[in-house]
Amino acid sequence: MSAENVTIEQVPKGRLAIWLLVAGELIIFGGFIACYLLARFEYGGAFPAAMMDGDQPIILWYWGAINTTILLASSWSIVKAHEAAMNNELSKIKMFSLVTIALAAVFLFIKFYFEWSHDFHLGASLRSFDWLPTEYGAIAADGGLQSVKTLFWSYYFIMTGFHGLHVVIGALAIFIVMLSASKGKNLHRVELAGMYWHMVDLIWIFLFPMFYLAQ
Amino acid sequence: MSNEQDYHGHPNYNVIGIVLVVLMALSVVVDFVVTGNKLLSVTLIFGFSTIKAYLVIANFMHLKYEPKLVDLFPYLSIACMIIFFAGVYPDSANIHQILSVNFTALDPAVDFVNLYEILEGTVK
Repeated sequence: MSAENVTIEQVPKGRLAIWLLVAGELIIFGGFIACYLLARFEYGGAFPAAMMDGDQPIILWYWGAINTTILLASSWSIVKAHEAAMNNELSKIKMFSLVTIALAAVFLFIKFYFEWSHDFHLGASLRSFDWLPTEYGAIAADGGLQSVKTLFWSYYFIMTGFHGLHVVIGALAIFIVMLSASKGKNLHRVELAGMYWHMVDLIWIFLFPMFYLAQ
Repeated sequence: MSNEQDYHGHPNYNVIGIVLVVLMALSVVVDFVVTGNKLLSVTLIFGFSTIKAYLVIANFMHLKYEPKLVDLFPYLSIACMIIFFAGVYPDSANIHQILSVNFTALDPAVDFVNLYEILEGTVK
């Protein structure tokens, strides 16, 4: 079967199911991103100010750049695992899958150990003001910056945390698929797990400039 | 693997991987170099991200080898986000304008009901 004459009915059900899953995930993260952008435009320069500890940025661009490179490399390695599955190279499937999982682990280690602990250390948190009168008092006291700070960090931790959860799920899926694929069974699932993994990468491609660059 | 499971073509994944990393590096360079023109730097950075996203979807996820109907899955999702943003943004921006004018002039001891009444009066 060639790609040129394939019809929607001939697309394997597994692939269609993964495309549906990807579409759903994009809607979820698209909602997050749209809400963040609404707040970003609404509060203007207060969001970049919320990311600062004095004159030093709390979010460090190089961790984001390293993690982006790691995710792009993992996307390459999982697609190489798919290529290996296509050629029935079982040892390569295992090798490239393990490389992808290792890269996922490094990504999570950097994200949560280096970045989040650094953020918490400098006072960033998910904490919100209790209720409107209290928040209102804080707004009156400092022109609203403190309340915008909590808003920004809530977006940051929820979005990167939810993305991190997807990294964990994707790595687990790749590991489970690898167990059978490295024995020559269900080789097509390598590509399906890979498609999910590319979706995780895809979301990070936009989270990176949103939080680390373009301030 | 049977042909039915792997009916699509395979681009050169190594080249695409390198292009993706180069685009990421360019985004960082633009952020540091183009500091005088915010609109230009943001446009370039998110432009690079869009190209990266397309390369991943088209080549790594093999969307360019799928029937056209499958394109609807990711692109309709993105369209939903844009419609949501475009529909809400004008109201969101307007409300902020009202709040920013009035918050600093209010009594800090105001409760929720009073605040509601004040805002209602402002809107009128």
